[in-house]
Amino acid sequence: MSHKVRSPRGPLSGRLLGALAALAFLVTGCTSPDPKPDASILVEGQKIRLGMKNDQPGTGFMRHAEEFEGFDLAVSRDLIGRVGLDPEAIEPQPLQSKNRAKALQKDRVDLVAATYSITAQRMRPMNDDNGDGLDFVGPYVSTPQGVLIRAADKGRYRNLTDFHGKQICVWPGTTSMNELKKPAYDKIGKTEATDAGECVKKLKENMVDAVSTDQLILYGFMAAEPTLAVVPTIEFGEINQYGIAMFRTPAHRKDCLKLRDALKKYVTGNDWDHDLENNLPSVPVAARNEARPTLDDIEAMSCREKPGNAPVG
Amino acid sequence: MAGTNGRGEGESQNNTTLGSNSPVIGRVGNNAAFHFLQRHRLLETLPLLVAVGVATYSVLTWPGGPQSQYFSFYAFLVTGFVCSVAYAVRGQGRIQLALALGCTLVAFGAHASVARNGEVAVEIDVRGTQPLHGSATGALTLVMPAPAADDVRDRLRVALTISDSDPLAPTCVHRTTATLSATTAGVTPGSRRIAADSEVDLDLGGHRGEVVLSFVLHTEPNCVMRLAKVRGTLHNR
Repeated sequence: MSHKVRSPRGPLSGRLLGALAALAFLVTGCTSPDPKPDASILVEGQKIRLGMKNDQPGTGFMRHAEEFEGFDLAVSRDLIGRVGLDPEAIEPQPLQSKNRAKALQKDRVDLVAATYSITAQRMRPMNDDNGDGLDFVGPYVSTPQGVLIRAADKGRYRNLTDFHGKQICVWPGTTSMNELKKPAYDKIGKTEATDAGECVKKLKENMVDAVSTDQLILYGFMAAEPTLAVVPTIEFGEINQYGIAMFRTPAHRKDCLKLRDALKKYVTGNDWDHDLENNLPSVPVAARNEARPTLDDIEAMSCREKPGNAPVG
Repeated sequence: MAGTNGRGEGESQNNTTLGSNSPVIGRVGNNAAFHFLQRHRLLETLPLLVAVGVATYSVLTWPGGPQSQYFSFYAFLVTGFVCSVAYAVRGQGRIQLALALGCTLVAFGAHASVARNGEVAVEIDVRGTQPLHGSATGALTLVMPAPAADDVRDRLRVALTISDSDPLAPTCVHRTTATLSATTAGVTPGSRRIAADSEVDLDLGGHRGEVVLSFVLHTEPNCVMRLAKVRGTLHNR
């Protein structure tokens, strides 16, 4: 008579192993970027998915279905044309501020031109202290942080202390929101909305006293909404420098360098002035001159894992 | 069968007479041979003992600094060890003996050279309030404590990294420089303008005590920065 010897590994351990493997798969799937082949974005005949804002007149706006406009798009089209591709290959897709990095990491878009400020954390590699792992082509324009109010309130506000006890609207994923959270602005009330459009709506409906973000964006709203006005004397925080972002890979780095060289030519010519004036006509001349990037800035901030050094004489 | 003599000493069957078969001679002969062999083994292992001694001394007096400056030391010590072991095993070989002792000696010299003149890391004390605001004159004091009295190194390399105080804010690194100036007399260059990620090599001019440097930040008015890293290296090269 034979006896069946029970395997030291019973049936339960097999199921447990399978469950653990599935859990590990889910966890890694949720936390790491989707694996994708490393290929160039700039390929003749291939569509270029461009993440853009759709609610910021002047910088990134969708006036009609699938019809985008704004300075971010104008810059992108110019650079794509300068590297020898058809600007019509650009396929704009709406993108909220808080989703910009993730959309690139998850390969939902190829490039992001969405009033995207270049920061050290966004440039940092993903495995380095929670960096976003992005390469930027920029800056293509610079702007300080500012404040937008109802035109009727123009005389009431001249500097930030006038907003003590008032409510300023901001939205997540922006350097502007991070700036206003600092202790120096503790006496200013903050209202958080989903995006720029919602903040402006709250302002028009008297639910908040002001909207704060990059001044260039605010000038765009001012041009589109006659009842709103930028307070020109209020500029604060670090200067925001916008770049066109892409997820960093070896192939993308080559694309980045091509676009960087194209950008250097763009900002030193008349096309940059044209595009800025056409899209953001409300920007004062002085602010427009301040907004033009320098070649040193482009060299220091484009296609790098950390900002480069300032030139030292 | 062993018996006892009158004195009660145990004796083997083959003792009591002197001559070539005498156990006394055998014992004396064995002892001499043993001592001879012992001394001979000691001589064979002496180079190995010297190598071990040099290695131990080096570890106990390790000056630190980059490993690259110890290449000669490692190379000669390893060669000395290998030759010492070969000599100890074979018990002969003048070339092995010469190499063993020679390489070990050179290793000792190489270590001594690094200890005296090579690069050693030094602590730099950063004094002052951070972060530094571009709107104000951001100034810090960097202090290198006095090295050991017998330290003959006369150059100080200072590597500095200035970074954004808030990495989530728009970066100002590319618009930031600083002026590093020697407050201690005799240290040159007296003043140098540097970028955010820089190295400055200073000649201490024979100064043996504490070295004090002043650090003044230059950046955009709204920028907030930090002197995030300072690394000092004393050297003579």
